[in-house]
Amino acid sequence: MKTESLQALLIDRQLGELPTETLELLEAWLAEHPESMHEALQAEEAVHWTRAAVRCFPELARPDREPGVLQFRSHWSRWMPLAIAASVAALVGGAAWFGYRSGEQSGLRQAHPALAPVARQQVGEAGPWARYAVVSGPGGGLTVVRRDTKSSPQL
Amino acid sequence: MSKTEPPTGDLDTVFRECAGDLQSYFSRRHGGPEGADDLVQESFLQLARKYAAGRGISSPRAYLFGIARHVSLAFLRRREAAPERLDGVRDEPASREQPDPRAVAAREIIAALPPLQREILDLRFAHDLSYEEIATALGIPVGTVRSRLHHAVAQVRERLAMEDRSVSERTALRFKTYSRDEN
Repeated sequence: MKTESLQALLIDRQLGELPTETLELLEAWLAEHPESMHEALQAEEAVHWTRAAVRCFPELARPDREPGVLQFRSHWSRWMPLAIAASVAALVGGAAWFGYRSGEQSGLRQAHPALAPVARQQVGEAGPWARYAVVSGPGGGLTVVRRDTKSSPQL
Repeated sequence: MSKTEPPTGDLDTVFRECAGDLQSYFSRRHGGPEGADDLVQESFLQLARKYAAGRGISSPRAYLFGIARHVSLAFLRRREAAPERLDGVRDEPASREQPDPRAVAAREIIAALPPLQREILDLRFAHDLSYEEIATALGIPVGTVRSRLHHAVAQVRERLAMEDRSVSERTALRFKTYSRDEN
């Protein structure tokens, strides 16, 4: 028999909650397993001291207070919804601020992109676009220029 | 086992058999015996209304404890809204004697249990209700009553075993120290 099952049966026996047939079976089993008498004694003792504590400390029966739990709990539970709402508001506000800041920085980066190095489009000498090249202008930006492959100097 | 079940439908008998138990129930829950009279009356009034309505009650004692529980909770809610105290309310435990350390250890375990579990223990050990009566009074299955009670007693048992071990260890240590001093 599993220890938990035996303990449950022993507690029920101690409290007089076992049907007669089950009680007889349990007694027979205990007689065959004298090593379990220790379990029976422990169960008996536990029931005895539980009963003693319940009778000796009537404050345990009071539903309006939680013995052993700090008394400010009821106040805490009263403020709990407000605390949750404040936490959520703080979280949403923080996320919004972070998002706004991130977006702002991203916009700055787009407005002032790093200047690209002078680009020179390498195209095939024999292709239809051989006379055109893309160069960076003096004021920034890119310009497409046409060049004569024979007369104009190499860009 | 539970106390003798009064005959169904006989309000006078139910009152004679259970009024004292109910008085004790309210006293324990609210911390004082005197003002509990009103709550006992209120509970019996509700039971009488059920009888008057022709409602068959198979277990009046358990049913009465169920009513008493609701009456008690309603009283506590009222008290929370507008603090009023029962006459002669006592905040300290009824017993002023020094309790056994094992009872104190069991108290610590019970105090940490959820309210429903403590209520089950109270109905069982202070008012001698059977599992079935507790289930009726609290409106929960008998299996739940059984398992919660087993769990609580098992916890007390573990705690007591731990206390025993620590006492044995302390004794052994003291004995060892004493032997060393003697040598």
